[in-house]
Amino acid sequence: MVTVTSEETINTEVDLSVSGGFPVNRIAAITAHQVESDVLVNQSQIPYLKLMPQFSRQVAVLESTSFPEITLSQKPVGANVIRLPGLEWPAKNHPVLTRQVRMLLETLWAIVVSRATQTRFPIRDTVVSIFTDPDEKSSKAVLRITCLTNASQALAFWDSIETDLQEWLEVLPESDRTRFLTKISMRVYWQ
Amino acid sequence: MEGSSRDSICNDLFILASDIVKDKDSQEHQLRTAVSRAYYCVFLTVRDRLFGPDAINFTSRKQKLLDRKYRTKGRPSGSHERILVALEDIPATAVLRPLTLLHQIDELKEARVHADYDFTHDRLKDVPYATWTEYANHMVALASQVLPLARRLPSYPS
Repeated sequence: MVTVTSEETINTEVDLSVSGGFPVNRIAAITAHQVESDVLVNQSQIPYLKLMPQFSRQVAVLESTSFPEITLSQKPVGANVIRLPGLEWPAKNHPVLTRQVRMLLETLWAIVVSRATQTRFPIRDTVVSIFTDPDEKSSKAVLRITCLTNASQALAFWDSIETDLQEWLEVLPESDRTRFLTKISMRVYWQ
Repeated sequence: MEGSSRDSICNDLFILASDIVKDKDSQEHQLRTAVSRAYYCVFLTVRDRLFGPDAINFTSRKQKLLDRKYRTKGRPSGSHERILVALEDIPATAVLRPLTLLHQIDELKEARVHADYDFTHDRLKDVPYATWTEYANHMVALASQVLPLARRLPSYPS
C-alpha cells in the first residue's frame, strides 16, 4: 500500500526523475486531501516520482485541477480517509514488460490514481498482468484496476481519465505512443 | 443467401446476451456464449461504422497505413486488432472518448477469449470475478454502455 502525506498544497514543486530520452510528463497533482496510512511516506516514494541515481533530476511543477478545500488540521478519519493502492507486478519478468513499457505503466498508474484521489474514487487495488490473445498471436501488459463502486460510478470514472490520457499521449515520443497503444491496456472492474 | 441489416443483427446479438444473463438458470456454456456475443455485437458495430458493412472500405491501402502506424503488420488475417487500433485516429469529442472506448472493447475482447478458450485456473486467474454469472453480467453491462458510443462513431477518415 502506497500512501501519501498531503500537508503540501497543490502546485507543489517536486523532483521528478527522468531518463535521457523521456520528457517530463505533465500529470495532475495527486492530492491535497488528507490520506491516512499506517506508514507515512513522502511524495518521492510514489513510483513515478521515484528517484533513481543514474537519471538526472529535473524540477517540475505538478499541475493540478481544482477540487474542494479540506481542512488539513486534523488527523484524517472516516470519510476523509483515502487509501492509495500500490502498483502490484506479479509477472514482472515477462518479455512484454520492457523498461519502456514499465515506465509507461507506472505513469498510467499515476494518472489513474491521481484522478481517483482528486475525485475520492475508491480503488481497491491496481495490478499489472499479461494477457495473451491466441487469435492475435500477441501479448499485452494490462493495468487492472478494481474499484469499490457500482457500474455507473466505475464507468464514469473510466470516462473521466480520457482527457488526462490524451494530454499525456500528446507529449510522448511517437515510439512510446505506439508502444502504449499496442502493448498496454487498462481494465476497470466494479463490484 | 440474402444479406441482413447489420444494425438489427448487432442488436439481436446484444439482446441474446442480455437474455442469457437475465435468466437465473443459465448454465456456464450459455454464460460463455453471452460474453462472446457481447463482444461481437460491439466489435461488429465498430468495424462497420468505421469501415462500412463487412469492412468493405477497409482497403489494402488503409490496412497498410494502419499497419505501418501501429506496427500491426504480420498479424493474422482477420485480426480484430488491426481494425480496433483505428479508433485511435478518431478525434475525441464531448461524447466520444476513443482511448477509453479502445480499452473497454479490449476488456470485452479479453473476456471473449476467456469465454471461448479458457477453462483452467491458470488461464482465468486474472479475471476478478468468482463465477461466470458474475463475469457475464459485468461484460454485458459493459457492452450496454459501449454499444451506443460505438454506434456514434464516424467513418474512418479517407
